[in-house]
Amino acid sequence: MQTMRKMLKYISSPALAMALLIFTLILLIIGVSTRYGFWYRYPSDLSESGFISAFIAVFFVNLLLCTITQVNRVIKRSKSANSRLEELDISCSMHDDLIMQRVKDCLKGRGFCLQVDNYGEITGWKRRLGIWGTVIFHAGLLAIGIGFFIEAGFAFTGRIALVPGQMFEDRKAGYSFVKEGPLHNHNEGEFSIFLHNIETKYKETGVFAGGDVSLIKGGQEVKRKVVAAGKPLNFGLWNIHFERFGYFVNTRFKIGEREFPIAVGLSTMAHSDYEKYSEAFNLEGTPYRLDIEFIPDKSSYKGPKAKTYRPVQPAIKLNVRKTEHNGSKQIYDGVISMDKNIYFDKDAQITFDGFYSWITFNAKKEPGLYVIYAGFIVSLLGVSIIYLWAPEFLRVKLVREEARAKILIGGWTARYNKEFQSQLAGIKRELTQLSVSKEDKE
Amino acid sequence: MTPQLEIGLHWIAVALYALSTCFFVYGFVFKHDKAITWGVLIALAGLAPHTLALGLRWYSTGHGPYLRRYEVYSSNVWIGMVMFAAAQWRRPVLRTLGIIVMPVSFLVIGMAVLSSSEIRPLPETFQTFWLFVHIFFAKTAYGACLIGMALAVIYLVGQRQSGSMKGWASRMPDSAVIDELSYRFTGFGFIMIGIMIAAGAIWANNAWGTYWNWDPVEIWSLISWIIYGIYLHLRYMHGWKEKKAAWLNIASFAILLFTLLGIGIFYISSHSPYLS
Repeated sequence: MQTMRKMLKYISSPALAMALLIFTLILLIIGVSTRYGFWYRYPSDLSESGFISAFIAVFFVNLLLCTITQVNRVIKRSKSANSRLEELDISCSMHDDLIMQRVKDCLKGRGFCLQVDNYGEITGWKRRLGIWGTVIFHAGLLAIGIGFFIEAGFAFTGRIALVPGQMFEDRKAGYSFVKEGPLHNHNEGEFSIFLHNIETKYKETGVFAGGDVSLIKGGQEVKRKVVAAGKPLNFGLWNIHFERFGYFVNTRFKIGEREFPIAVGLSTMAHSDYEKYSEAFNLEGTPYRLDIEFIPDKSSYKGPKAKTYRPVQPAIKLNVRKTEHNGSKQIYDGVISMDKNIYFDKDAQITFDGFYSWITFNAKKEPGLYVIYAGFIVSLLGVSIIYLWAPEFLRVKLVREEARAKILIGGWTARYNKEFQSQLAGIKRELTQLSVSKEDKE
Repeated sequence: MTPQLEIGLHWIAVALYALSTCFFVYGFVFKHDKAITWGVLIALAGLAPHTLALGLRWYSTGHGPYLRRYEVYSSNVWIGMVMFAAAQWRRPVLRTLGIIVMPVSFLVIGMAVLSSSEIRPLPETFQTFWLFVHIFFAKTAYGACLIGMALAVIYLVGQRQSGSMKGWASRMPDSAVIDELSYRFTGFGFIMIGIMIAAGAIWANNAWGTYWNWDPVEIWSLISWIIYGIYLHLRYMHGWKEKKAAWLNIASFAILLFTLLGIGIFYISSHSPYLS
């Protein structure tokens, strides 16, 4: 039992909180300081690992217990000033009630709110609510933690890939990629999305694409919006975010006597100042491996990493390797303009017929996100209260020893002690004056 | 004409900040009070062309001064200077902080004017209210923590057993008051960093559909927040004050400075377009 109590005390201790914070700090610094730091290389692997989960759980329990301890402490403190009382010997002949009235006037004059208990002890306070600052701060942090747990358990992300004129219905199988928490229950058919068109803006800083989409619920269009980077479509707990934009290229192959079309979906690789649209694939039933890169503007194409955003003179850059008995070798590498066909091998031709765009969105349901945001606001509110609303408490008690009156006084504050001490000294001075007050002189 | 004028004004500000630094150093080394007064006046005089230069930059770019190193560094220094001016207006004895604030400001604005002043258009994803909130609080955090750190340095250099400050810092309040003020400015900075992180997360979620991307800037911001959190926790719960707290404050500011100014140099991140 005692061991349990000791353990509980340790788990709820600020020392453990400090140790966990320092450990987090070290983990973050090591993770980000190496050239390919693990935090931004394997973030999802790490955040989903058992070790990190256990660490977060310990942190959460510590935070929870710390908060409970603080609530207890604050309740105790708010009931009494919780401070050592100092004796002021005032040797005054005034009636007790009159002395207490003077004490009250003195404290009221200095802006204290007063409360007198059954034993005649006066408690004075300023900014009493401020005592809850630390609790509010910790409650905010707890809310952030709870928000993360909700996210881990219930969040859903699904990727929607569309071309203009295509409709997407919310079915799990319809998403090209799904990531969901173990407790997420997907109610299929909550919404449909219809992509009218892909709008593109070509700027010096790159291509900015957006999908003109209609949100359909129960067969009715309920919203229409161009969803682009920074402009998500929000409805209920759902958010539809733009993810990526890219191209399909229409090609036609003639291998011997066999002629067939292929629409090649190109992946978009975003680099710091350019985007590359390309795909490598094996041409089924043939010995050819093709690497196709879409070049939106052939006239401004000056090799890899060139900025060719606007489709002015579209072309494809084709690289073909042929597998033979002694290995694979490159048999073609060149640029093909639209509607042109070339022979990349003796009996093999390709024609670049045209292109069209695709867009992907991420449909996200993040029920914990708002809890996290709220927690953040609450915790910052708590810190602000700690700083701006620091409470001050005073206790004053009158003790009568025959003809002598003694005032016991003490105080406590979360604010800078020296300021408070000088205020307390002023009050003491004023109360000591009672012994030489007008009535006494008379 | 505007770009040359703006760069010219920036250089005038650099020159005045450098001169102010010289006056502060002279004032402290030779205990010359008038030199410190001149240091303050010259610093305030430097703030005028600096403000004008940033205003012109805002006018010519069409967006706030928060894109690329030139704008980011210069506007950080501006906020720091404004907060320093406000602090000494409220408490004139705090003008002594200039011995720390001025050299830092001079060096950072020097780095700004030596980097490219080429105007870059604001990317689409940057055109949001949240970006403004995010950046405003980042800069305010820098200003508050800079003053908190300066107070910590003054405390370490000037404190003595009796509680009063020694030597050139003798005109400053008691060491306990300086220690407390350092704590208060740092606490304010901690709140600002928190709001900066939250606003950044909201912006990132709107822009890229993810509120936390483990980007180096995000991680370093979190590190700064946690280290300031540790500082406050140690003070509040474990009674860390005075020397130990001052040293930790200085170390924390070094990390914050790296987060706000150094990451663009060492990392490629989603923040690179505006820190390059």
